[in-house]
This record gives sequence, structure tokens and C-alpha cells, in this order.
Amino acid sequence: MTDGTELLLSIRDLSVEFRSGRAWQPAVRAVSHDVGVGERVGVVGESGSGKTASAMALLGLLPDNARVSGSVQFDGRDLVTLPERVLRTIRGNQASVIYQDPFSSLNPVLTIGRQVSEPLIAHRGMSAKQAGQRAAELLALVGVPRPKDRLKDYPHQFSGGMRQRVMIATALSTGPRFLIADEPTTALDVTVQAQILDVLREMTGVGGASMLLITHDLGIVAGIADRVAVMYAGRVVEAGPTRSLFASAAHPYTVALLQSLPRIDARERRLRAIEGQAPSPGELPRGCPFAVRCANRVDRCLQDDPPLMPIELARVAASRPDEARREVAALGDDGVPGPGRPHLAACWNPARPGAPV
Amino acid sequence: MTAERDDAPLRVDAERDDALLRVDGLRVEFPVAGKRLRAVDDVSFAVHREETLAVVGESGCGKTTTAQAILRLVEPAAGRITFDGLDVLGLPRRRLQAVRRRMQLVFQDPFTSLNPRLPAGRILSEPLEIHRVGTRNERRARVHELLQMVGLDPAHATRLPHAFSGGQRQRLAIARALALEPELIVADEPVSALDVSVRAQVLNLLADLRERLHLTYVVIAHDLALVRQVSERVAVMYLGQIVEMSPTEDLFRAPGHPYTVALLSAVPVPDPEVEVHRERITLRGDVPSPIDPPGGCRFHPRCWLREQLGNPPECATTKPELSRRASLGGTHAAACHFTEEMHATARYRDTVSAVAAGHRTGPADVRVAEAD
Repeated sequence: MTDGTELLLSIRDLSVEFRSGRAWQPAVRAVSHDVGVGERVGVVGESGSGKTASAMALLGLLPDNARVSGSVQFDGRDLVTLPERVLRTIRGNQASVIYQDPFSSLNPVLTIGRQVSEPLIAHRGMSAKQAGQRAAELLALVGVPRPKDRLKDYPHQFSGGMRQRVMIATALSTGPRFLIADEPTTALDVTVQAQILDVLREMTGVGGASMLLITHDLGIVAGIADRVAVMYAGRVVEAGPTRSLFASAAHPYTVALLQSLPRIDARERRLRAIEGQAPSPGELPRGCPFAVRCANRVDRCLQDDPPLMPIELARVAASRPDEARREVAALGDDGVPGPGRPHLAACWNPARPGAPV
Repeated sequence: MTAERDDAPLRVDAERDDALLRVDGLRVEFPVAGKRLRAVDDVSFAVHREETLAVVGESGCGKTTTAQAILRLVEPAAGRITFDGLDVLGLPRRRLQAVRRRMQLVFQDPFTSLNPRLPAGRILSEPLEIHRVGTRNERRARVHELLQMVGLDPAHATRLPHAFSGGQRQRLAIARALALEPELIVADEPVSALDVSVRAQVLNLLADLRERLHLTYVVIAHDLALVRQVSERVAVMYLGQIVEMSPTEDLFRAPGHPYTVALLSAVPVPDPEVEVHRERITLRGDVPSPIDPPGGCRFHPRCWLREQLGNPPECATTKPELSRRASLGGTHAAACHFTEEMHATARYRDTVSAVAAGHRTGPADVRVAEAD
């Protein structure tokens, strides 16, 4: 069941491993996730959480030392099994990526006009002239002043914020249905970040492209995402509609993350730190990977890695774990994060809603 | 030129006599393509003993250059820096070393600021050796103490930096800064290279150390949310100049400069209920080049208030002085001709009401539940 939102992307049991010497290190561990048409989904996590690896795996953008398993249904095809040649067409036409660093992702020796028109010529069969016109329109759309003049300029003649606008224009040039934005504003100043988020908000959403926004910043997610998935140690540990997730965060990691953030609208006498650090993916402890840092830990957490469960179920699951697992399995797609799905958490002892912090 | 006026005292800071550091009329220039880029242009402030002054601004505003000039890592073109009554810029090399010991810098990136080939213990004993502090045994004891002080296991003194996590490396960098018992720590974006969940640990450590060791901090930051938690006073910089200087809480409750208001408006709040109701002030364009800064108020070409007031001519012609204002409570200075007019605008009120609350709502506290 969904809320009527048509699905664009259906990810099942996606795992990613990276070769390190002779061993394979897991980076993403059996992630399932559905993304609706026109949905903006925030994927939040810290370094090593698997947020970037899981997103790049969708479009076959991982380096050669990566191994991917699972399935990614997109337009009736499984992207994981498609050959690179076909993936390249999909990346040019229907899916694009906006990277963190506009400095290294634009070609320094090509004019901006060339770079924005290139996908239009290659994938849309436009003439150079048509593509140039469309490129100017796209630059205007993302707020680059004097777009026609600026087509002749090179990346170094643009500021960081303007380069990121150009990247967005390039990513949007072929009218993709799916956009991955990987920390798109992390390299930018806060006032420029606000401008870029406005552009992304306008270019995605209902009637437009779906967006997977990968970020470590819960503040950005709060302002732009319809839905949020929180990742920790290669797993989605909590997922739900943005409002529900912020108002009644259930996974102790999400709660602790929210509490540890310095907030502009409050002064704390002391920040609530999360002690310790995330485990490295190669040395995962038995049980829940967050358990060693968790204030809510119960005995089961150290033995048994909890599955994603609707939060009402999670609150009672510790006393009857096998039954809870059967119930989760019976939920089918409803137990997978997606549009219109319940708020889920992978925890045997989730935080209780109630008292304001 | 300082912010002197008939109606305002010489300095924008309270005239407390316990200033550990005073910076007056600081100017730093870099040669760029045959021109001079004024990275810092006429900056003055004081830092009192055992307080934290935050210097906040976006890239290119001159905040890091100001920090470097304090430690004389760059040579100022003009101005005066006084540390505990000593004229830092006038000191001969030998005596400068003695003063430098008393002020230390913590860098942003613990991945590049530590020598990757030295074990943790050597990283900490090196400054002691250079300054010939103690005997070998005393130095060893001091290293042990320093590691404990920053929450690292003294048994890890033999480990190389790469064996530590990012947060632990920043702890090590802080321990190194503390080795020579400085009075002033200049911390340049001390947590922005760290993962979100370990930032609070390091910020709390800095707060504990300040109290325990009676330290004074200058924290350079771009993150106003962080600034609100860690500092007593804030200097907001834009294009090489301080545009606002204020006790921290006053800055969030009643900012006096339209640039500060725009910054406050741009910082995301991790609460969708707040975000959905917030109206953002979006600044036009980018920060202009400091090689050829705009005349009058440097912020005027991007200023939302100027536009709203119908582009009054003085913004483009007359540099507003950074002066204390009765309307800002007397301890708070802003370099704007139209602070009072700004306070009457709806955009100002909306922005401030979204951030000034000073309380927070959020998820439930994490508590260990009763066993079911």
C-alpha cells in the first residue's frame, strides 16, 4: 500500500561492499527503500553510514573496487543487472547526480555553455544551436544572471554558488525524473546554501523530478524533504514522513543526533554529546551496531540486530521478538520505507514520545 | 580609523580592564595580480580574560586571516595587537617566541594538522622539547596528563594519528595546543571537519577546559548555531570588516545589521514545523571581491533592507561606523545607517521570532524504559 503515490524506484536488499586488500568490507547492508514519483527524500547519516554508497550504487556510479547486490527496479528494469552502456543512457536521460563539490565536477577547460548543452546534444539529439538556446534557458531557470553571456565563460570565472547552479542546470538539462543530490550545499556558505536549496525545491517535487538528498545536516532535511531515512553503519535505522520523524523520533540514534545539534533557535548550557564513535563497517559488533553508544540499550540489543519495524510494533517487540519478525515479514512492502508507509525504526527499545527536550 | 563618535565611546567593547587581547585598527593585505587585496580592513576588538569571543562570517570575510594575524602567522599591514599589555607587533623575534607560547592555535582539520609520522606522545612532547620544558621524565608525565585532560587513553601515546578517529585527532590537536599552558586559544572552525555526532563531544571538551584551566578563546566559525552555544560575545564579519559586535544572546534576540539578519534567516533549523513557517531572506548575488570592495556600506549591493527602504543614498556613499546604539541596549554595536528602521520591518520580526525563542521542542528524551 502507498498513499497513491506512484513509485519511481524500488530498492530491495541493496548491499555494497568495497574490496580492501583481500577482504570485502561491507558499506551498505541490505537496504530496501521505495521512492515515489515527485518525492523528495532526505537520506541522513554520518561518514561511513553508507548514505553516499547506497545512492551511487543505484546508478552504477561506484568505483571499480565495489561489489553491488540486490535489486533496483526503475521503469520495469533492474538497474543492478543492467550493462554499463544502458546505465549510461539512463544517467544521461532520466537520472542525474549533483555532487558536493562543484569545483571538481565541472570540466575546467570547457565553457559552461558546452557543458550544459552536451547532454542535450548527446541524449536529446539537439543541434548545437538549439542546445545553446536551451542551455541559456536552463541557466536562467537556476538563477544565473546574464545567462547568454555567461555561456562563453569557463568554470573558474564562476563563484562556488554559481558553479553549483551550473551543475544543477546540467543535471536538469534532459528533464530527468530522478535526481541524486549528494551534499549539494556542504561546500557553500550559508547564504548561498539557502539560494541553492530554493532552486532544488523549485526544480523537484510534485509534478517534477524525485530527489534523493544525501546530507549530514538534519536542518536541511527539515526544510526540504517529504520523507527522511536515517542511516547508521550501512543500514536504514529509522524512516518516516519528515514531520513524524522530527516530532517523534524513535531510534535512539536519531534522537541523540537531534539533541546533540547546536541549534540556532536555542542556547544550551551544555550540548548533549553522543559518546563514542560509529563502528567501522568492517568491525561491526554483534547485535545492533548502535548499542554500545545507546542510552536505551536493553540486553537483546547486544545479541540481536533489530529489523525495521513500525514504531508501535517496535515498542513491544523486545518481549516477543520472533513474533515481531513474523509480523514485519507479513507487512511486505509496508515494512519497507516508502511514500505513504508507516514510520519505521530498527530498535528493540525506541524512545517514547512525550516530554519536550 | 576607529569607531569613534561623540555619542559613542572609543571602543565597541565594554571598557573592561581585564582584556587579555586587544586588536586595534588591524589591516592585513595580500598582493593579488598587481593589486592589494585587503583581507582585513580596520578591525578592532578586545577579548576579555576567560571569555569566548566568536568571530563569525562566510568565506572570504577575513575571519581566518584575523586569527592568523593575532598569532602573527601573517604580518599585518597596519594596526596594533596587544596581548596582556604587550605590543605583539612591536616585539623582537626573541620576545615574540615567549608571547607565542601563551597563545595557541587549533586548526580546523585534524587530518592535516598533525604530523602523520609522529606517535601521539611525541606530538605532545615536541612543543615541550622545543621550549625546553622539564626533564625527560617530567615531559613524559605531562604527556600522560595532557592525554587524560582531553579524554584520551594515555596508553595510546604510542599510536600514530591515523589510528585515531576524527574526533580523537581533534582532541589530540587540542592537547598539543595546551601543552605549553597557554592563556589564549584561537580555534579556527574547531569542529567543522568532524562528524555531527562527535562535534558536541569536542565542544563540551573545549568548554570544560576553559573553565578548568581559566582559558580565553577566540573561536572562528561560520556556523551561527554553534556560536550561540559556545560564545559570550560575537563579532560578525563581512568583506574584511566587523559589521556587528554584540553579547551573544543580544545578537540572536535583536540583531542590528541586515547582514546578520540574513545569516540568521539562512541557517536551517532542524525542525520541520519551524522551517515550513519561516520566510527566508535570500541575498542577491555573491560576496563582491575584496580587491575592489563596494563604496559606502560594503554590504549595500546585496542588502535586502536597502532595497526595501527604496535605496537611500547614504548606503552607497557613507561608510556606517560600528558604533554602540542605545536602541541596541548600549553594549551592542552595528555598522548600519538604518538599524532602527530595520527593527520595524516584518522580515526582521519574522526572522528573529523564528530563531530567538531560546527554547526548543523536539523528540522525547531517551530514557531506558522499564523492562516489559
